[in-house]
Amino acid sequence: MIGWPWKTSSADRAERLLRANLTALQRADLKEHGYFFVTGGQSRLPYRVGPKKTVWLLAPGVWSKPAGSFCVYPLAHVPAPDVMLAHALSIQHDERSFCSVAAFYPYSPDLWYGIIPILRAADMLRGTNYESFCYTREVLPYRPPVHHRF
Amino acid sequence: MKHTLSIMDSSGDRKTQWDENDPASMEEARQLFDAIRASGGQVFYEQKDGVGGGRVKEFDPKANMIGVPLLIGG
Repeated sequence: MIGWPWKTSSADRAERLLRANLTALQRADLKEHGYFFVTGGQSRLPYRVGPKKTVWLLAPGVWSKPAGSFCVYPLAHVPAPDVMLAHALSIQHDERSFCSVAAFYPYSPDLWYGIIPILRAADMLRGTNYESFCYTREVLPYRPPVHHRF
Repeated sequence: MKHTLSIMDSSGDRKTQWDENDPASMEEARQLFDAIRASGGQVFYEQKDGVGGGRVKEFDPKANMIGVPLLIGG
């Protein structure tokens, strides 16, 4: 069991449900690190899912720091393992909706520039507007600094 | 054969079971399914050790499912 600081019986139940839906490798990552990796169902990009409302988008081959993070959470009070499962299922099976509702925050300009062609390709597959995928929706008027634009 | 709809909530998850041969229990589960979809949530097929899964658009009485509340960005 993971040492959740807010460990409760509800978190136990949620964690059982989470573990039942993960692969052996994901369960091992979860046990060892407290997070696991999933692959986007449409873009095939790697994501890191941890016990927070942010999900890291990773540049392939660079696992230690994110190229950006998606901030998204369930509109209900649920334990952290439920949030992780909601993230994982959405990324694997409904990535387009996940990306469209999430606020996206690009990190590390060096990694970000490296991942641009990949995101562009993913966006072409989705048939969506690249700006709308990369940044955020009108409800959150976040815009990256000028030097992140291209 | 019994199937389960696990709906995420503050208690971890709330499980609703139904039997394919019991229309009453199946109808109850179907109503819960519709309620999740109506509130903006998503329903996914349960995965066995990471295998299977997928988004459920219409109630499937022969599958185990997981109800996820509406996701919002922040």
